[in-house]
Amino acid sequence: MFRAFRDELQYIRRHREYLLLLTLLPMLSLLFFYLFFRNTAIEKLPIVVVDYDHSNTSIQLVEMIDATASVSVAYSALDTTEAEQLIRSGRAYAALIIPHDFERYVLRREPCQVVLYNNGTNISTNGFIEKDLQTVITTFGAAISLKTGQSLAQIIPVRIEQQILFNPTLDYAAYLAPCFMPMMVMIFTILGSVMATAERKRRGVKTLIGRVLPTTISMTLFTLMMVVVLFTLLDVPLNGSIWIILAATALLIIDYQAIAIFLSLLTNNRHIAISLGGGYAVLAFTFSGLTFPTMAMAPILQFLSHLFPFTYYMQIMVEQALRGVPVAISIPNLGYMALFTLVPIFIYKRL
Amino acid sequence: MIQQLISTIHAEYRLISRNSGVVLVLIFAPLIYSLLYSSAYAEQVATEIPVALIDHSHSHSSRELIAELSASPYIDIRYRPTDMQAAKSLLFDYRIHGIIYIPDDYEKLALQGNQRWISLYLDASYFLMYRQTLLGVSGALSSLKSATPSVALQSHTLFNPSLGYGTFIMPAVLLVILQQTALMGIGMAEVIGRRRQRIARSPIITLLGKLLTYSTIYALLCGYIFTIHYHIFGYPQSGELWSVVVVVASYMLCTITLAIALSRLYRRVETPLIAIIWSSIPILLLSGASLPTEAFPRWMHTIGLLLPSSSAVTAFIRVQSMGATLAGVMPELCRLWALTAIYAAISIKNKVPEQQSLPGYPLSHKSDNHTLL
Repeated sequence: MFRAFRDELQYIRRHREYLLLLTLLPMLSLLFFYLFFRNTAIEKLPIVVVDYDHSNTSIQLVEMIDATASVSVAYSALDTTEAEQLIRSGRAYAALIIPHDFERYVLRREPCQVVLYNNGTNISTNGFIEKDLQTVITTFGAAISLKTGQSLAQIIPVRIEQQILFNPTLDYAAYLAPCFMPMMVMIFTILGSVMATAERKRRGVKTLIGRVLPTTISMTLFTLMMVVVLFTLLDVPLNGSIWIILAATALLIIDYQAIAIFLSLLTNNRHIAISLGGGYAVLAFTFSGLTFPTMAMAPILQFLSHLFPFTYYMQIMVEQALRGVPVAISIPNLGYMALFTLVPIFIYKRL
Repeated sequence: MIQQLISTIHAEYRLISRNSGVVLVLIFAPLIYSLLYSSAYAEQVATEIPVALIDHSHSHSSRELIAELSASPYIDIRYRPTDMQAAKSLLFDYRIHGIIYIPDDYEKLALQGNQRWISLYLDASYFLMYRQTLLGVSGALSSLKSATPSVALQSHTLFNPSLGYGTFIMPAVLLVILQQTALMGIGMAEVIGRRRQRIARSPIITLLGKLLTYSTIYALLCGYIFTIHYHIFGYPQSGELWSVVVVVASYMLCTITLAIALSRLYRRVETPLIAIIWSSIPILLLSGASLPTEAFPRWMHTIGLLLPSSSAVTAFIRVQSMGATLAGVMPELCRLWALTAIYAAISIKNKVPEQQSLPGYPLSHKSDNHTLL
């Protein structure tokens, strides 16, 4: 086993791409996600305002909107056609239309409506704009209604005390970085392990283990760096146990090495094994249900989601980083992950 | 010259069709990926998010509120625990994604003519769950209003009225899939092709021949994805046919030339796979299709513009999903054409690297005549 390990190191030295994928490429991916997520705040999304009223009141409303965190009134258009153009050309995410006689209605204490056309092709920007404008208009309207002698209970009968759990600032870095970075661990583990085992002479379990060991070591070091970047540089909350996260990542590496060995020996073709393994790795993101819930998928796809160790890994990550659940709750998921190390049994004859 | 061109195209087709690895990456991968991703997001909108409700008021008013909440399509009151502790453990077990708490003075405040309140605990570890739960609860509450507000916001969602997740992310995902599989598949074919090249041809003819070969393949693939696939999954097709064709064709030509230019860097068949696979998520992020460009460093987006996908994703979404005209996406199209010219120049100028043979890695790759699996 040790000899196989030593020979593998020699082999890596002679293969530039193999060496790169265990050293420079993981670093590069880590650097990318660090720089990308360093300060992801959805702020100052440009919108266009069509103010048909041009009154003090409407200008006051526009100023209030411009002062919100997520929206910036970047354009003012003469009519809806021009506003529509700005949305279609991608320069504005939404258009707000203030009607004629807006001020007159307000001064007369008559109800009136402000109209928002919000681009739905990006549901994140849509959500932020909708939420902030709804808040501004409600506040603006409530202030006027209170002057007319209506009570707060009439305007907003039930107030929601919102408690945003686990990621109170709705930080995209805390939401996505703990998923994307381990995905890189997973992808490079598969690539390295396929390079170590496909189209190679001499087999035997010990030789195989010796050969994938450099990948194991490289990915372990990568994991440690990832944890530092995630929880100290990017300030992702760590409300649970770092040890469970590390154990899960170790299992993630071993799982995908087992899967890579399975694919390598099944196909004994390097680029087909890499293609299949790479596809399997990239699809894992969707099936983890982080961005779109698995429960909303068809039953067959819900079943498929259980065939990715990454699904269990993401649950553990969310539980231990964000949710801070008791360690005992994450143990079964670690158990499921451990099962995937047995995948090579399906091809034991070729081992 | 025409003869040379035809023989290049012929040789290229033979090369692709004889190599199962290339066929797998170039043709089957985009078909399988597009089907799996689109199926996963087929439901588009997550509804009936399971929540728990704690009612400490046990009053007529609270029952009225619960009836409103139950009617919401976004949430499903699946549990009625008596205390917070029980609700919390349901939350940790993923059985619910939100907790609604009605306090004991809920009705009393209403009778006194005061504003009432409820507590809403939202699970922000899954953003979509957070969003749908909040949408469901605030929607239910708005129907309790007694007075018309003096100023109200009337909101319309353009281009994706139900805010479907698939309609939002799939156009970008499909384009990135096409780019990434092209970069890998064409890269592999280029490396394999070097070993066979015997007749010297002019580099321009060679490039032209390859462009024509891959264009026919992508005309069929894109034709299927952007008509039949699009139709099956109900993605918006608001663009004029010609505008969509121009955007997609410009994109694929740019991608093919980039793939050929990049292949000059590869020395082994697996290099393009190793170099490209991990970059799919970074590239999707750089296009600004999921997180808007305002949310990440501007310089990163600018560097990303060197890739065909960054310009094409926004141009395609604007034309196909939002119904923009070609004039509306001219800056992006010009960028794609300029990139195509640059990549073409690089691939004509740069010589094909010498094939190197290393011990332990035979030159004649045995998978050349391999059948899949």
